[in-house]
Amino acid sequence: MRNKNIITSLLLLAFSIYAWFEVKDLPDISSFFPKVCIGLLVFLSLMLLVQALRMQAVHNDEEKKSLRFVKILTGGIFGYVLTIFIIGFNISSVIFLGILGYVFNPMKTKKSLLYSFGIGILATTIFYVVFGIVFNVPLPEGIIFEKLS
Amino acid sequence: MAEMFFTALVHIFQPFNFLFMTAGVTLGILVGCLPGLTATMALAILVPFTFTMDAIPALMTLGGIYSGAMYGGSISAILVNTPGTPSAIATTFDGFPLTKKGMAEHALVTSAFGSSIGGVFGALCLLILTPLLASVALKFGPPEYFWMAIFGLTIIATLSSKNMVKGLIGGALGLMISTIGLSPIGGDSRFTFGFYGLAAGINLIVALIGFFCIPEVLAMVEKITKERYKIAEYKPKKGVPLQVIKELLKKPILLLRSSVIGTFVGIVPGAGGNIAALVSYSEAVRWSKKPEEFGTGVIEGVAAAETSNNAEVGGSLVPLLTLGIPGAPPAAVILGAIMLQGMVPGPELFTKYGEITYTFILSLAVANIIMGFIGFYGSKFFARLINIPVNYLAPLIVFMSVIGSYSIRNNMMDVLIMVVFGVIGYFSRKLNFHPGPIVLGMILGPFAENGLVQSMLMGRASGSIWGIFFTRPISLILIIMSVISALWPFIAAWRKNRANKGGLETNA
Repeated sequence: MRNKNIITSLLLLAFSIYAWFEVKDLPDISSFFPKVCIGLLVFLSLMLLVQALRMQAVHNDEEKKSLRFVKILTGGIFGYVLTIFIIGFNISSVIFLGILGYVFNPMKTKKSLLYSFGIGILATTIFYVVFGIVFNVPLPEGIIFEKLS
Repeated sequence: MAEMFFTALVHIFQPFNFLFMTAGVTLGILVGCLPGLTATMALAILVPFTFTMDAIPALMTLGGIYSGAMYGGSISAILVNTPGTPSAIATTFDGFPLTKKGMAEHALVTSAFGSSIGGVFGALCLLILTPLLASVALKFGPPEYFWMAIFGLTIIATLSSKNMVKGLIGGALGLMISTIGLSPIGGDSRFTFGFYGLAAGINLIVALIGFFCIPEVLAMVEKITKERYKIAEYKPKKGVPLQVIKELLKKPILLLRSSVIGTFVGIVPGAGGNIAALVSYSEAVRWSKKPEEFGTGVIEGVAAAETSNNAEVGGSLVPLLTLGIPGAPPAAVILGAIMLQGMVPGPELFTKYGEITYTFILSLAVANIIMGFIGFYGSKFFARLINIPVNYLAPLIVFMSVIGSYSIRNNMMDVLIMVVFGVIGYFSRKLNFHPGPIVLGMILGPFAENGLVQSMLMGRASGSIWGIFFTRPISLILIIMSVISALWPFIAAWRKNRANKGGLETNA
């Protein structure tokens, strides 16, 4: 944690400097509060740095966790958002729920694949009815379908 | 007054009115438990449906939705660490740890009971103390708002007892995030990087879903193994609801304090259930004999947050009914509904339209009791949700988060911001930064900035920029409260040390 804290405090200091340059030329009425916050952040980041430098480096035996799934999900979420832009909310939701439901399932069988896609279709339909029809929230159609219509 | 009271009761228990109110409570619970759908949104969507209704059933339905949504937010907060509404942020602190311990039903019953008590208390305060409380709210000017925000920020000291510096950094980052967009007074663009979508700032709910929901989902999947792929195992046990209620009834001070805090915060225009719950949670930690247990899964933490955010409902309607100033965003929608019915907030509401107004106020108390029953009997069914395997639950939560953050402004930019905040939240959690202080900073940032800049302008006009901050009576009270609150962890540590030393000497 010592090294992580040192890096965090340095990143925060760099962010504070950047933020300062972003607001320094604005009129006082708009920049006073952000400047106060930046000053506070600089002071606290320095405190964290001092705290970290004084800290003894301790080796942590953390529980081994599956970072593979974290990477898959993170990529999946960004991919999901991107496909919503392209093919719209409904189709991308079914694909996202179906594929990830199957990938994260420890027992990968044909039945579990069908089950995952079944849940995907059911959840998307329910939310389409609730949001799209009852609440009249226009769900994104995606660039392709917008052009087609 | 007594005659009006009985007439109101007759109206409430008319089958048609009662049915609509119960439907409102149920709908509110359902909407509230979905991340991204807030009480304000539910009310705004459903107000048009009440146009054609008479004033009494219309207002009773809306009151039911408001109360139900405040409780509903706690369900997802408890089960999947995702506050359904901003008011349920503080509920996650102990609610989710209870779920992980296999005590989801305990947390859900606590939430239902606390919400019910708080809601009834708030409604009764609304009924009895309205004129008196409204005059207090009127005395709040920019300096008071500024100090209220500072007092709110001192809660970070309680929320981050493990590492105060990291908690404060989180708070400062939250304040920084709140400055994104157009400056509220100067109108200049700040940190928008040329994106028009950022001009209106970062929506609190979008950030909330990002910081609480996505990191939790990522943490969920990193624990998937062949043997373990559920958040926690829920096995229904007999008699849990009664056991929890008996336990809570032994803590009347906690319930009363949380109710009073919720009502008072609700009265202050602009301060919503989220602030009420956070202040109440902080005070519960402060006055507890075992503060170190908070955050590990104790029902007192859930009770403090939930009692307070439902008491806030009644409080937020005090300035609304007397002065036409909504105490919280959902109250603003109710103001619209009242005006649509041809009524104008003010003394007339309690004279000319007294029958309708008193029915509405009393119906809030009844709605909270109905909500308590739904929670009491429904908890064991809600708790079963955590038995859904993580491989289905995790993508479903992401799916709901996406639709929730999109539906706020029908803007894909909000979805992208939510995801980015989520990833930042996941890594910051790895570095022991709790999302609570960041979100608190975001909530209080606009209050602090508006209060600070407006007060400085007022001060400049009166000849002393800073004098105005320290010369008003309510400001002074808030300053004293802030100082005590900020120093409290040190005072508590000193008291503990002294008690330990005393104990050692006695043993020796």
